[in-house]
Amino acid sequence: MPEPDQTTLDRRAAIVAAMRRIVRGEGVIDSLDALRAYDCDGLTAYRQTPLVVVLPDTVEQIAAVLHWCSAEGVKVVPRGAGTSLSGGALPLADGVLLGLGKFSSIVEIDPDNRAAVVQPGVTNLAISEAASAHGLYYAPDPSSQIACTIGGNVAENSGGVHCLKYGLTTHNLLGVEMVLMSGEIVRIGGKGLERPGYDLLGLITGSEGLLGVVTQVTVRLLPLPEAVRALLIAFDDVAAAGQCVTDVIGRGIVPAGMEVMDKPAIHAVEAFLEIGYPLDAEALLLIEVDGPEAECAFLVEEITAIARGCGATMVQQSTSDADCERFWAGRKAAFPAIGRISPDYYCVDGTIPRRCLPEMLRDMAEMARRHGLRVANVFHAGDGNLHPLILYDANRQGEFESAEALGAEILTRCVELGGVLTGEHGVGVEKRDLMPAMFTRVDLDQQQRVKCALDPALLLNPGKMFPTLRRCAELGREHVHHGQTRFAELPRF
Amino acid sequence: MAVHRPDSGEALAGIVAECVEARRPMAIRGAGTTDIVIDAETVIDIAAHRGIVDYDPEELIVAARSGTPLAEIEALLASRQQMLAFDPVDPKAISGGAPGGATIGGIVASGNAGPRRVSAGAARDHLLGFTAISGRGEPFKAGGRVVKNVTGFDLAKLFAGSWGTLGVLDTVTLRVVPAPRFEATLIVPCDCVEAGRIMAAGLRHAAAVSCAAWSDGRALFRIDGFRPSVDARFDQLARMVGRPAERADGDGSKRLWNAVRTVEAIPATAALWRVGLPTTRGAAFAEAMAGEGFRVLIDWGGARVWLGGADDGDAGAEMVHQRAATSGGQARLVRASPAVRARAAPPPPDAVTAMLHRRLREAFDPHGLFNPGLDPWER
Repeated sequence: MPEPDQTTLDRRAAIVAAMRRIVRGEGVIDSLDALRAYDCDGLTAYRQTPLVVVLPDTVEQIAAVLHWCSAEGVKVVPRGAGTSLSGGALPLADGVLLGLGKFSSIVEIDPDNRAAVVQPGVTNLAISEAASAHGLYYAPDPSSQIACTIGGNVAENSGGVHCLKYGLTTHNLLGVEMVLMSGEIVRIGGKGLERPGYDLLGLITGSEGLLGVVTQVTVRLLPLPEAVRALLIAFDDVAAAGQCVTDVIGRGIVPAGMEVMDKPAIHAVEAFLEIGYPLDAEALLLIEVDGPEAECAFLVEEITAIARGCGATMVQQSTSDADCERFWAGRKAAFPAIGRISPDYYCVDGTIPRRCLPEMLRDMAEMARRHGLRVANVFHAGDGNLHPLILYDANRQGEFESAEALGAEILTRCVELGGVLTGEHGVGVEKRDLMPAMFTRVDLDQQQRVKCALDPALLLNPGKMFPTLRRCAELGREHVHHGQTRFAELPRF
Repeated sequence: MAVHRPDSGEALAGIVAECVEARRPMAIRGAGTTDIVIDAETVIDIAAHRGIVDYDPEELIVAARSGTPLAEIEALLASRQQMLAFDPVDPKAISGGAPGGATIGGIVASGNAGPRRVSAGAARDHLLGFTAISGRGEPFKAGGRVVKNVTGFDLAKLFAGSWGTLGVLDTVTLRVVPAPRFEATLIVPCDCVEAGRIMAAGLRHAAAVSCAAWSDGRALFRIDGFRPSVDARFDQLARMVGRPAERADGDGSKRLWNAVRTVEAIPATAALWRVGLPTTRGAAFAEAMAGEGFRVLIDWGGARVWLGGADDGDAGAEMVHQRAATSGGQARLVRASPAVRARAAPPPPDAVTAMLHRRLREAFDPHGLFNPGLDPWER
């Protein structure tokens, strides 16, 4: 992280006093003991006690906090539920941590417009629960959905296991209200589908809290599917599982979810839950279909035939909701199951072209061997999003560093195979320094200029996403390389 | 006027860099299927910069140079029973004209979307990544070629619908989807207000309709997918609607939706307005405007209303903008003679939005060289 600014640290008492003038009572936390509760998010390997925590409960207070910090040159880190797996909400020693937890109201469920208007601190699952009375739900379902908030989902463009069919957060938003670092409030979109001008809503989504603080969100709701069915399919070869996924899509089927677990993951889960997963399988493929009964029944038969054609060693069809839950239970317990067999684990999040799965698994096994570590894999197979779980022991000297190095190697390999550094967890602090593996200096400068357009003093969540923070004035200059202008060989007239 | 027709990414980058160096404003032109006229001496015509770079049906992606005709991409996808989910429409085809060879770059830059928008999203939802030349003359890339990607700012969203004002697209990578194997349309004769009610109910229904529109006294619901599923959902929806209805299958259904997509119900000679508003406000708005003498067509279940009016004066701009705003929406003139267009500008954005637009434009095009005078807010 950037070196804390000593003059800001020295002004701590004055900053706390200013925050107390804006947010009264318990909404400003400055005792060291209480601040420790905020010292990390879901990426617990990185910790930093914030300068002060502010928990406003009105948009006006947020605007006032940001306006004051902007005028005084004080950094601000926004925070939702703190479930980020990439350190997106990691505090700064010289920064105000702005918690949105008090914004927890569902403003409106509007069934005829298939929209919900909610405050940013509402949990992902609470939206679907509120909408269910109208036969509707909110589709993106990150695994942390009972805890993570919609404001954080917007910041991270969160995914989930149903992205292939229903998209990420960005495909399911209609509008936001947002406060800029300057304290200015802007409203983007509404309940309609069209938004004139540049797509600010699309830009804000997934911007990891670097561009503004979202204070209200309007999401798109979908009709609850009539039925959900699942298939559990085993293969004695990872490539065959991959081929099955490809053939399903090739047949024109877009399932609600397709998940692959490799052998180490299968064994960890089976040891934990005793679901009856076949222990001799090299890969287990879980496919979920949803929709009307007639559609589900048709698709289950189609997929069964495709799976057998790909050499599946076992195909189980769910015949009840209980079956469906049982099939999923293992996949959903994969992380805790790994947690049982290893003192610590580190979850990596990259995306690869789906067909590269066998090659990637081979490469990963080799990389892991070199680092003397074990890796278990779960894979959102439909969209190529891979979650290798690196097993390590933090109490062993240097093992965390090895795990991190292995993670970086895996992600770099994802990029080499035509994939990306992060599919759904975000860049944050974690993958910041890997950005040059995917983007050139010119690409990154162009992104940073967007940051400068919305936050010219770089005060909002600095130290995240970009490997180096370049001052905006510097980015504004014409690029002159070794004293030459670009395309010097071209004629000028 | 100097017209440049680069036929490669290198040539495109070269000519843009040269213009940037000389601070020469550029009109960025695809197939010229819109009525936009840009006041610039230099034209960058991307139509020769064409060709599919990568089509990977298994990974559900297609990448193409920006000047590639939409029709070429659609034909290629169709050969593998796939399609672009957002249902793009060649602007020239609207109101019965011959398709004008719209380029994929133009389709993306104009944020194009057809009737499937209501269920499948617009160009912005399917643009996975791109390469472009910035207003600094620098080639850069953003996004990727996989569906699930949150690495860095989502500049693809910003470029979809930017009307060539942020950079010149070099290549675009788009997500594709399997084409439905079968489709049927439920046709329900009813008036506009009743249509508003049943479209809202239909879109909430588990039958998962992909399109809902009202045209010429008939509400239309499109259901697509595998045959057994389509049949079951069709019957569910028909029961829910509970009114006398007809059914069109396969090509009959496709013809109905092509007519909606190309706004056939409104004569080509009319000034054409596109109004975006919340689903539940569409029908009442359309009814009121029909009362004022406009031809109307409702799409997206009510969230989009097309208005056809006389192509003279301000084409009713004052009333259209005011009524759209009261209905929680906004109106944009899609087609009109230049004199009418000049009088029909929409109300400007609020001060903060205007500031953000200006600063974002400067972030990509600091000298304001791309498509001078074209304001994406007004399109």
